[in-house]
Amino acid sequence: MSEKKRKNPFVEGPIAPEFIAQLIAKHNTQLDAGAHSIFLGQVRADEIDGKRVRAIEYTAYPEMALETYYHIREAIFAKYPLNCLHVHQSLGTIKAGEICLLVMTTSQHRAAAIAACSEMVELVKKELQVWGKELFEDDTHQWKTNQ
Amino acid sequence: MDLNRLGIIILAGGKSTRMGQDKGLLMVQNKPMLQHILDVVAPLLCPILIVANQPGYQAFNYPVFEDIIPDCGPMGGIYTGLMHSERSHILVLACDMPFVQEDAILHLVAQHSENQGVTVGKLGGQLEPLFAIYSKDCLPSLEVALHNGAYKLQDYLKCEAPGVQVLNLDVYQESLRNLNTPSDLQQKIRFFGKLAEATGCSTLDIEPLPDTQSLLAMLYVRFPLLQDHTFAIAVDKTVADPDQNLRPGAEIALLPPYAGG
Repeated sequence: MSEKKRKNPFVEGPIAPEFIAQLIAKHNTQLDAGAHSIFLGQVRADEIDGKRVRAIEYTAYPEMALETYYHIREAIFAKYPLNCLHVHQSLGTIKAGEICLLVMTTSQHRAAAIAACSEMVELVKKELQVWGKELFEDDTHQWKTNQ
Repeated sequence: MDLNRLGIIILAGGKSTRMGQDKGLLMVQNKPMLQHILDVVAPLLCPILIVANQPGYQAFNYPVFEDIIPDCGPMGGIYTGLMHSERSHILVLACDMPFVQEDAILHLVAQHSENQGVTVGKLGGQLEPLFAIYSKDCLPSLEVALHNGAYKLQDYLKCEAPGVQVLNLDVYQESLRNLNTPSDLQQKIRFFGKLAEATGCSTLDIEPLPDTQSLLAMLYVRFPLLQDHTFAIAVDKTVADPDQNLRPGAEIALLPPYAGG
């Protein structure tokens, strides 16, 4: 825990659209930035065997996930010329239609921001110690699997 | 000092009220705790004595002595060791440091000279009287302290002992870790996602297992449903190899496929 403070990507509850707007606004002082790429993950009301998903309940192994996140973040910064990188992953119950993941990358030119954003989304889904329980309207559930 | 002037005393005599059984015989990674220490010090080829007051230590094939003056704690053990050792300087080791490494011992020996009474290790600002070298010059002052019932080694080293040298051993902290309570040895298993649901528990404390193979064998017997699931094992927050050793006290986690985003 030397160099810089380690970032915590986890937030409790859904990511509010107002929060996203403020996050974009905060970057207006970065005058050398020319591109932002933003990915928003939204909870989808999948229909499975006639039952509809009403929400996803996210849990994590935070102590390990923070280590993992530190390493994937370092890897992305090493690979792409980014000004900054924001990741917010929701924990807790997120209703269908709400935002559960935000990845925002900022760079001078669009190529780096777009590629880094896309790669970071994949890494979050593949590497972070996070699990989702899909809750149906009839109070049964199944465990989410990533494609 | 020279190793061929040094004797080694392992103190196994303690009444381990916290462990609930005799500490040195406690199994750690398939071996009694005392055996771990013997395996490290035997190659030094110094004469080794065990000070113990319980039966069961004869099996290690080294001379075992009971305390000359009983019930005086570790100070009595050091006195007994000094009295019985044929060498004029003795390395005193507690039996509850099963992870001790040769480099820490050789460093202590190298820093001790024969005109010193004691060289004692210091860890995290605390003296470690049971990772120290004592010379026979300590015998008269030890006798006085024992006679007066002043059994605290910290006090003895600060006030009474002749020629005390303190040696900072913080770099060897991990290898000099004491095991004091059974829970220091226990491994904690954490179950996540659907595995917590399948097993019906989120955490489980177990007696230490030596490797991930034996861990899996235990888990499949205890939770047969786990055989229907895919999962990775993390040890101390790092994904483990298929056949990895497990340290006592490790935090183990069973991780189903991740599903963030």
